[in-house]
This record gives sequence, structure tokens and C-alpha cells, in this order.
Amino acid sequence: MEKNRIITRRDFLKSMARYGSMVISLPLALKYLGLLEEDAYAELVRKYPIPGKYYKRISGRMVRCLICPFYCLLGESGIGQCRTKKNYNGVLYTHAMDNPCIISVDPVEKLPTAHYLPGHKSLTVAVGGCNLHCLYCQNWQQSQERPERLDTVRFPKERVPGALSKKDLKIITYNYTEPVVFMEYILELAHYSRLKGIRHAIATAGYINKEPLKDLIGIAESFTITLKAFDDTTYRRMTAATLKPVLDTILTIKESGRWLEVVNLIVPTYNDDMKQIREMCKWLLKNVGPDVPLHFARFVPEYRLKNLPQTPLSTLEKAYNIGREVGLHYVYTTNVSPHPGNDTYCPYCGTTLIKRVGLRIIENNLRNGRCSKCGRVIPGVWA
Amino acid sequence: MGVKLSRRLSINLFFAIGFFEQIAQISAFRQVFVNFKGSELSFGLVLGVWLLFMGAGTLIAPRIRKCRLASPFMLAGLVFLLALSVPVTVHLFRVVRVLMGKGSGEVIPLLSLSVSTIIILAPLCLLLGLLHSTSLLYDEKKLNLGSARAYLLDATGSLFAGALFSFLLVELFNPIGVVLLASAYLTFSVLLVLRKHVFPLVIVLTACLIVLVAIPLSPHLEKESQEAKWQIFTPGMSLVEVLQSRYGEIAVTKWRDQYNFYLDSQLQKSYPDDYPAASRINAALIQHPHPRSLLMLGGSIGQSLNEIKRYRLERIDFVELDPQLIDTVARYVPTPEVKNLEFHFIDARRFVKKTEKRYDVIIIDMPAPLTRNANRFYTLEFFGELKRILNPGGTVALGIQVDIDPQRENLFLSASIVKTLKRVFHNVLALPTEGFIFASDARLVSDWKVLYERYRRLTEGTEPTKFFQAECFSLIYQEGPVERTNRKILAYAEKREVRINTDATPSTIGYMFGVWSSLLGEKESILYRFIDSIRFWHFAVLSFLVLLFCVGARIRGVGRGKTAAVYSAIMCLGVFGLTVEISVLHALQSAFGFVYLYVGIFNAAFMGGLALGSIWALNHKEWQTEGLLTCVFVALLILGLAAVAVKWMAVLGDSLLIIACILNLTAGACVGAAFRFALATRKDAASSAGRLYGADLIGATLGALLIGSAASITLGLVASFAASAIILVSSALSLLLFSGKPGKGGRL
Repeated sequence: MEKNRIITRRDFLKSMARYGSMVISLPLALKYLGLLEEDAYAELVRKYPIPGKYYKRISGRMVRCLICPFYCLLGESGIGQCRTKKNYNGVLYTHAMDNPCIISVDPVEKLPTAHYLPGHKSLTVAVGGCNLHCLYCQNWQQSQERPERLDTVRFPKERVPGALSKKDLKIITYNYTEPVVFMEYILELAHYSRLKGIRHAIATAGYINKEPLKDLIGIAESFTITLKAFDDTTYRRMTAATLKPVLDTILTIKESGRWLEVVNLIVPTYNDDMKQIREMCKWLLKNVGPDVPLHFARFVPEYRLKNLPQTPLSTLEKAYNIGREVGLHYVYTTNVSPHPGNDTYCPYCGTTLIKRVGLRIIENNLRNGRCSKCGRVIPGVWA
Repeated sequence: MGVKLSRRLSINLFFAIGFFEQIAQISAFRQVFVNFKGSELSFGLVLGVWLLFMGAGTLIAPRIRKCRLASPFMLAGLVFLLALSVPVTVHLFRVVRVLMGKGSGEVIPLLSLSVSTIIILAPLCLLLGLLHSTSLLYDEKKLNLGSARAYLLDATGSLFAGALFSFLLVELFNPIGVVLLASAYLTFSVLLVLRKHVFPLVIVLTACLIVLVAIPLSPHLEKESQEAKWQIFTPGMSLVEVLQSRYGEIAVTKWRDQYNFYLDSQLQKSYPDDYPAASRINAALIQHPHPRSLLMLGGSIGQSLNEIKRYRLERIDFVELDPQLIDTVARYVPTPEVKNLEFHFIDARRFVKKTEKRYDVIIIDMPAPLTRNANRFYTLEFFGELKRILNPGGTVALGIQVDIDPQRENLFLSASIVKTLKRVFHNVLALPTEGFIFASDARLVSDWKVLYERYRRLTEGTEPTKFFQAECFSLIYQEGPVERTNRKILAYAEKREVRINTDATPSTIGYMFGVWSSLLGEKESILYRFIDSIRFWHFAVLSFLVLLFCVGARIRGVGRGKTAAVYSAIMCLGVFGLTVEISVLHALQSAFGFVYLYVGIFNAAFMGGLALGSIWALNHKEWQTEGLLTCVFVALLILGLAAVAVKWMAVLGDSLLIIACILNLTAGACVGAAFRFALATRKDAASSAGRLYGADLIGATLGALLIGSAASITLGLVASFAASAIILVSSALSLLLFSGKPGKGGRL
């Protein structure tokens, strides 16, 4: 009797749920194991203890990173916002050491910069990770990933002289990702190559605390700071960070006397309000003076903003005109070429000093850092 | 007279329910399709959720009977709710972004999108399921039409709605207008049936009046709904217009002096298209030393044409699939006059296949291969067709973002296309800056100085445009990035795990999903990682488990063994039905790309088959397990035929449409008949119906989600059919081994 009992719906559903969950959990379990392997790989990278002044032990094994204004509080094995710092037994280590994901020879104009050694080529070095999370990041594959998970090359300081001399280069630029998150590596490269006359230029979002910034100022000759918006709400929406520390960074660099250029990427519907742009230009004029070049860059649909259209050319040109109206001497348009806004003009006589198409210099009318027509000094690092 | 009238009204009621259900399903399907950027993943998701929740609604029916709720009140209440909830559901799909807190133009995560789709669709499907069962119960008590006839009428209504929607309604009405019309028809039909019940009549009459008032307002409601959607999508931008094309939804927005064109919520082009268009067209044309003829498959018609003029080409053919898109663009963007330019509004693949002309340069500028419709322009078959129409030394420029970035999917996507191109052409060159992959049997040039000279020679004597100069080639063909990219992509293209992209096995779609998921971090990519982890052997394991389940049941008793075999067969046939239904839609997208318009017909064909099969089996009740076994074997045969049709879809051409309808109809018939046969094997048919339906639904949902959505993308269509077949084989074995000898132990 019992043997012939007909299976009930409950029995049937129970069995299906049992077997079904087994089938579904199998691939997930495998994937999970895969993830464990990936973490094991992270242990293989060179763990470099960062200087004690850049972090603080809070209690037990908890540490607080002091490099950027996020002040990440990390428990044992905790990883910072930037994805490069990890807490091992109460000591903060960086995984961004000797393992760049990009090494390429680029014109320095790529930073972008218009007044720093125009026409020179540099060795660009970038390590994965970034402390900001910009919605439109053009290098998000590198910047929003842990360095040890990227396809990298081993590039310790000892290899720098060889790499530079092979291409006859004298400049190292740090670009594409965020140099702040691999500053220990930059400092190591800089200290090693100091005696060999190597120059360093940094492109950064400037979201960094004063102490570490001073160390970077100590080794770098030029800074290109991306000022992503000029009001805190927009800045937070676009980057998940705050505006004030970036403005402080701009002021600190200016005070230090290092060469400074500012970039503003104009993103439609986010930071393209002309009032805000005018305020930003006025602030720059008042606080860093008219001679700091300002680049207005065109946004192209990228990363999480793939469905947002490119910046209208007219918007870019309006911003360019506002910059000049306000009194800034050197305003540029980037990501659009050929365009009159790519060129450098003498603010006194209007002569075209440097004519550019893309990253190429077509014509250079500067004579020893002076206008070839009126002879006035044009600020910048020209040689 | 009165009886006759009641009968006619009941016939109309079930027809109207079928009609309404189908219109609701098509409307939901189209909205989800647009939200999913036109991805076929939406097919499986919508049908899976639809079946699961509608089934759940239907299964609540016995409880309703117990609660004595199967009254006219219940029917009226459900119709009231449904008539109003379908337009609301359409609107909810449009504004769902607001729940995700995403900013202007921000990409929506795949997982959140899927979850929100389920949340929005579930209540509607549940109500529809309840309506279905309530109307059947009402029929049982008052109308006496019989469930079999009701089932047939429902399916006929679905079939009619599918055809009417695709051929007429979509042209005459906006999406909200169509669902309001269907609501009006349903409420009116129920109104007639409930004419003798005062209070229920008032409820339905209210719904009917609301809907009737809303119909003339539907253009306004549609406009408001679309504006709400685009205000959430791109706040601040003004929505200029939204058009329903046969391939998807075209939207035009305006920001400052710039017009932006979206297809299925994905940005396609912005005009004025100044710099990007200028550098792209020059980067592509310059790869040929003496271009005389050009074929453009898709692309922009603004600045590109101004640049093309400088090359003094003898013949330019511009092929655009959707005339509506060009018409729309032309309304807002001045189109330059170009000598020798001819527009062709025809499917680009069809044009390439039919044309007798030959070209020096072919530029393909289609959307990225996230969908099968777009993937058709990145496949091995298509590249072979292109080669046929190239002059000796001709060049193909395939527009696609080239990435050598560390994320596996980005790199694999580029490597897969390069690998596929390498199968057809001797030389391949990737250009990361402009997003092109060039292919030719002649030598391709990456040295910008050579191209600089070539450009000057080719455009000598013509006036340069504002947006391009010869020096720009130094930027476009940057030595370092070009060299690095090609080295890496070619190395990856050699790897075995990088798959060739074909019509039937679209490897790039899977990689594109990976790219989409990787945009939003690890947590959001769980769904993709799950889909990506699906392998063919998983289905073999599933099949084995089905067999194991039956063996286990058999060990516990002969009766249990027989029962398990029947239930498993129904479940496996559920998997089969949805595999065929969804895979056929995938195949049609690969071949023609206009499922957005005709989805109703193919769904209705399946529904029609379901009803026909069910009715046919009713007349052959004595077949029982033999009938069930026959259905399983017929299903295997259908899967075999479907695999052959998919494999040869390029050869089949337009006849694939008819084959698709026949496949859907027969698959539906097979599932419908099997259900009746399974029911006939049961002694307690009335109480077993619910359980069998449950098994069918579990199978159908698994088939829709696991095979129809996931496996058909990661494994390809043929492998999906094979996966379904392998599951069916285990059910056939179970039936053969445990269901008793034919003719003797048929009834369990």
C-alpha cells in the first residue's frame, strides 16, 4: 500500500527544489572558488609598507590611511577606497609598487599641458586604482580595479634609466589613473632618478591631504589638476568626493611655485552651467592668477555615462570665451582638434605663439619663453 | 434566444481575455526590450516571469473556490484592476530608473534592471492568472462553455491580438493607446456578461468609462509618460519626439544646439557631429590607397558626408536599415549634397548578399554587438559576404570600440572580432583611438606619416573642412597605442578560449554583457557571472538529475516511479516549449532584427499550437502514456529541425519566417497535447491538473530563463536546442522504463 502511494505535489516540489538548488549552486560555488584563487594571487604582489606618517594605528589592528581626505578606516585585511592600500596586521601596505598597468611613450601634451615643455615626449607610467569614482572615467578599466588584478609589467626603479635612455627621454609623466594612489612608487622612482636629471610631471584630480602632497611637490616639476566641477553637490555626484580638498591642493601647488595647469571636463547636464563656469574662472583668477592655464575638455560618452551625449561644441566655446572674458590669459579647448582653442596666444599682442593640431605642434613662435613679436615673458616651463 | 446570447457573450469573453493577455504581454515585452537596450535577454525574462506569476495566479484558483470568492464581484474587481494596471505598468517600465537613483545618462546595472522588471511585471501577471482561473470558475458555474473551449477561445484571442497588433494597431496607435483599447474591449466584454449583476456591473462600468475617456487622451498620456521617462533619464534635456520603428524605439532629445538620437534608450548619434565624425570617416577611407567606391552600412549623415566629398569618389552607397531613422535625422540635421551618393533603405545584410556592385572601401558603423540584431554585422558569415563584394585590395572598416584593457570581456570582445576577421581576411589592424578594426587582403598601414601623405594626395585641390587636417592622423594613428593594441589583441586572438563569432553562436554578445556588467562593479556583475558560467555539461547534469529523481521514486514504489516519470516528462516538455519559443525569437533577431514589431505573431503561434494540441489530444485520450511518449519524441524531432533551420538560416532567407511560425505552432501543439495525455494518465485528473500545471510551469520558467535567456547567448542556439534535447532524453527514458507497459499500465 505504502509502496504504491502516489507522489504528492508537496513531495514533487520539495524534490525539485532540492535537486534544482544543487544544480544552480554548483556553478556559483565554482565561481566562488575562483574568487578565492584571485585573492590568493593578490598575496603574490610586492607588498610595500607605506611610510608611517601616511597612516595611523587606531586601536588593535585598525589603521586609518592619511593620504587622501577619505581617511579610510581599515580593519585587518581591509582595502582602501583607492583599491591599492591594504591593512596587514595593523601595518598599511600598498599593492601599487613596481607594477604599472600602462607604460607608454607619449607627448607631454597628453597630460594635458600647454606650457610645460611643449613638443617633448615622456615616459608615461600608470598603476591601477583611483581614490575617486568618476562616472565618466576614460580609463575606468585601470582606475576602478585593484592593481594586482590588472595585466601589469614589472617595472622597478632600476629599470627606469634603461627605459628612458632607450627612447632618449628625460621626463616621466604620471597620467591615465590617479598618481595619488601610487605616490609611494612615484617617490621611489623620483628619488632613484634624481641624480640622473629626470623630470617628473603629474596629472591628478588633486584629492590628497597636505602632507603627502608636499612630498609630491618635492619631486614633481609640473601638476595638471582636474577640477571636475565647481560646486560641492555636483562634485559629489560625479566623483563621490568633495570639492574643498581639491581647491586646497590647487592653492598649495600654486604657493609652492611648481608649474600648475587646471583642466575642467565639461559634462552635459552635470557641470555645464555657465554661471558655475564663470564662478570657477573668477576663483582661479583671484586665487592662482591669470597665468595659470585652464583647459576646457570635451566629454565623450564613456564608462557609466555611455548614454549621455558628447559636450556640444558651442558649450565648449562658450566656456572658452567666459574664461577669456573673466581675465584668464591662457584658456584652451581640448578633445577637439583642430580648433583655435588648441593654440597659445600672447595675452598682450594676440600673436599665435604655439599652433597645435591634436598633440602635435605645428608652429612655435616662442623665443626663450618670450613672445616673438612683443617680447613679453610667457609663463611656463619651456626648457 | 437568451441562452444563445449568453453563450455568444461567453465566447466573446474568453476571446477578449486572450486578446487582452496578448496585448498586455506584447506591450510589456516591448517596454522591457527597450529598457534592456534591445537585448534578447529580455525575451526569456519576460516570458519566464509571465509564466511563473500567471501560473501562480492560476494555482490560487482552488483556494478561491474554497473561499467562495469566484463570484461576479471577483471577476469585476479583477477586470477593474487589470484594465487600469496595464497602462500603469507600461508607464512604470519607463520610469523605473527613478528607483535606482541613477544620474543623467548613467548606465543601469543588469541585475537591478532584471529585478525591477520582475517586480513590475509580477503583480500584472498574478492578476492575469487570477482572471484566467476566475473566468473559468465563473464559466463552470454560470456559462458552461467548458474549459477546453475556453482554452481554445483564449488562444484564438491571443493569435488575433498578435496579428492585429503587428499589422495594424502599432501603426495607428501609441503604446498606451493600444493597451487602453485592449482594456476597453475586455471591460466591455465583461460588462455584457455581468449585465444581470448590479454591483459588479457598476465596478466594470466604472473601469470601462475611465478607459473610454482615456482613449482619446492617449496621445497626451503617451507624451507625458515619455517625457517623464526622459526627464529621469537625461534631466534637463528636452524631449523632441519619440517614434516607434519596426526595429525599436527611436527618441530624439535636444541639449543646447545639439540633437541626440537614441535607439532603445541607447545613444546612437549626436548632431552636429563635427569632430568625431570627421576623424572617423577619414581614418577609415585613408586605409585604401585609391578609393573610388564606398559602401557605408549605417553611420552618420552629417559631417561624414562633408569629409567624403573631398575624396572625389565615383560611387557611394549608403545603406540604412531603418528609413524612419534617416528621415528623423534629416528633419533636424542639414544633410550635405554629395554627388554620386545613393541611399538604400534595406537590411544591410540583405543588400550585401544581393548586390552585384563591388567596392574599394566598406565602412560598417552599426551599434555594438549587444543584441543579435546588431551582432549580425560582426559574424563570420557576414564577413564572408563582405569579401565577395570587395574589389581586389579593398578594405573593410568595422566600427567597434577596441579595448585591450585588463577586464577579460573587453579584451575578449575585441580579440573575438579580430579572430573572426582573420578567418576571412589576410590582414587585420585595430585602431583604438577611433574604434575601428580594418581588414583586407592587401597591406594595411599604421604609419601616420604615410597616411598623412596619402591624405594630402587624395584630397589635393579640395578645400579642407573646419574639423579635420592631415596632421590629425598623428593623433588618430598614435604609434604607441596602435602598436601595443595590435600586439595584444592578436596574441589573444590566438587563444583557444576566445571564440569565433557566428550567427548561431554569438560569442560577442556574451562578452558585451560582460562589459556592461563590469561597468558597475563586482556586486552588479553577479547575474552576468552566473550566465557566463553556464556550460553544456550543466544540462547533462540536470538531465541526469531528472533521471535520478525518477529512479529514486521508482525505488520507493512502482506507482511513485510512474508518477515521477509523467511529472518529469511534463516539466521537460515545459523546458522544451519555452526553449523553442524563445530561441526562435533569437534566430529571427539574428536573421531580420524586427522582432520588436512581430513578437506578437510568434508568441500567438505558440499559444495557438498549445490550444490545437490540447483539443486534438482530448479526442485521443486513450493514448495516455504512449501519447506522452510520442510527444516527447516529436519534441526531440522539432528540436532537431529547429537546430537545422538555425544552422542554415542564412540560406533559408525569408522562408525562415514561415518555418519559425511552424516550429512555434508545432512546439505549442506538442506541449498542449502532452499536458492532456499526462492528465489522462491520472486517476484523479481534477486534482492532478494543478500539480501537472505546476511541473509544466517550473519547466517552462527554467526553459525561459536558463536556456532561452542565458544558454542561448553563452552557448549559442544549436547548443540550446541540444541542451533542451538532452533533458528530454532523460524524460523519454524515464517514461520508457517506469511508466508501465503501453496499453496495460497506461493509467496511473
